[in-house]
Amino acid sequence: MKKPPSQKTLYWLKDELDIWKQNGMISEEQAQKITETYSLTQIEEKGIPSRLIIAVSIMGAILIGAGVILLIASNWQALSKSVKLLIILGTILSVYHLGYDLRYTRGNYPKIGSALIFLGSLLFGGGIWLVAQIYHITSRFHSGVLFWALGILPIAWLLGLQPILAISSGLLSFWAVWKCIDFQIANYTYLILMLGIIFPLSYKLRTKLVLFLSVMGVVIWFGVGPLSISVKNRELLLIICYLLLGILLYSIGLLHSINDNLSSYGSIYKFIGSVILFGFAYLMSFKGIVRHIRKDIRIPVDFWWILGIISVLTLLAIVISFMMNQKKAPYFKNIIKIEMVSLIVFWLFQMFLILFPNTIFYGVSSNLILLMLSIGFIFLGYYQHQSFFVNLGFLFFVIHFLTRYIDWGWRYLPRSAFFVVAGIILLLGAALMERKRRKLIEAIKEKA
Amino acid sequence: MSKRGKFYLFVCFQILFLLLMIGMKQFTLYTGKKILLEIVPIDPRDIFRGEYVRLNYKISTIKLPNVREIKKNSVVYVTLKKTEKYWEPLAVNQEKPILGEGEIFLVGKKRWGNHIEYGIESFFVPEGKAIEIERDRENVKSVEVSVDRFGNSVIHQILINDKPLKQFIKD
Repeated sequence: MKKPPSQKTLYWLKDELDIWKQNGMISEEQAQKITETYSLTQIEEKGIPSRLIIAVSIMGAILIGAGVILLIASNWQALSKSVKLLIILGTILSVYHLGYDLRYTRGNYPKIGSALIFLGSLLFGGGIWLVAQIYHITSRFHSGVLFWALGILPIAWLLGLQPILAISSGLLSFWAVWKCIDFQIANYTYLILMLGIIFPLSYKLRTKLVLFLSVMGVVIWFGVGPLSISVKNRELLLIICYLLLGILLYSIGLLHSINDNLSSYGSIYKFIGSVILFGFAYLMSFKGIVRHIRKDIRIPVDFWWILGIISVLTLLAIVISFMMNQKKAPYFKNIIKIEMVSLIVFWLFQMFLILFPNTIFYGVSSNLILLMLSIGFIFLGYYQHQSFFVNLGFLFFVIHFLTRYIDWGWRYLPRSAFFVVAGIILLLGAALMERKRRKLIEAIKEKA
Repeated sequence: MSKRGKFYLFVCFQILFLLLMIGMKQFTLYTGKKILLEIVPIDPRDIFRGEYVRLNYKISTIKLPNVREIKKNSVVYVTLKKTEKYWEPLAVNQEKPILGEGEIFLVGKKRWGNHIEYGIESFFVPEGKAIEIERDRENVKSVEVSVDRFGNSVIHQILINDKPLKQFIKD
């Protein structure tokens, strides 16, 4: 599976083809073949960017969909139940038909057609809630959300429509979390549906947005479902599991580096994993929190299962990415090795801090690791030519610095001086960091 | 099958699903036996469906000795028999019960403690009416429910001062 050229490259190719033909570099026949291979006839003429048209039409569809759902919610009595049902069924059919017609059959308004098909998938949900309202199905109708998500999935798959997949992913996560909170159950069906359908479809449709939404959904479900049920109110166990989850996500990100086509998706896992790891290290830097959460240390059996499964998966991800990256250029191989070693060191160090919170170096160690994390991400972004890691590193640094300044400065300075000094430090710091950040991003762009 | 054919097939699945939902509920309404259950209502709001009256039935909390022992979230069959006016629980089983004369069963799910949910705990009303019903809550005492032979239940109507809700709204 080869990575398709970007829209920008296709525009460039389309313009260049005419020049090549005029210069006699290629024949008419060759130009035709290139046009067909890259479907250059389907590229819109320059003008209003197609993404803007998509965004506007999708927003329009969302507004209409929301309006219909609100109309249903108002339980309007002027129309009888059967008329309401006929209207919603008729509207679903006509909107889908018109959408398909505009996008495929006539093909003259493909973007509007997509938006109408998207609207159809929202109206299908409206239909479910209308039926549920008419027949007074319980307000805890979790299955309604599940049916909505599953009902629109085949259309997302068939037509490759990312907005429908995004709605379906969001609905599944909503269903999972709602059910977990309501019934105090882990709801593993959600994980099966996500890993079996949504994740593969996100890769197939090449949509990072849906992948991001889906990973976030799983992370939230993990905390609300399996974790909160198995560890109950033991916050320490909860955050230990989240630490491992962060490392697992980062390792999955690393695993993506074994394939060039997948590597850009890896950054999503790395990003979410990094935020979790920073969050963990940040929490651990407050000694009071560590002491508080260490009080109740009875460990339930389920906890060991969750910990064991995540640990095995993390190890597998690290070992596979290590073995599969052996053929890579030494430069990339070394960066990946450094990332792997850093992950393991980070984990060991944090576990040490959790187990021995009374160590005299606790304050220095926990702050040092936070600082190392920020600097590590800045360097990683620089060497991997990924500007978002640089930005993330700077963001982590700012949060860390501000927290410690408020923690320590408040106690040692008179209040007025505290605010003045804080303001000056912030202004100077921001200017300095902005300059450094710009330089780094420019360097990355130049290298890329 | 062509892309167009598949698309319309998937759309038909959605429509059929909605018709199936309607059909199942209509089946219970038309073929089911109408029973009267005693309630204690309050009024919240649902983001997709608007205002509703939350119904807490007397049969939602069953103080029979075996109920607590049933695993949380398990399907249960509650056998009911008519007393003077309302239908009252006789037994709670985890398998379909053999019914005696004048008995019916309702399918529900065991939740916490002695609490059982039947999927008929919400009654959706036009905008602004939930508050009116709430004001008159002392007189909202019963709900007419249709129960089919499979134990599925659908709310037929809510009774206020022994009058159907529609009549109450008009009055």
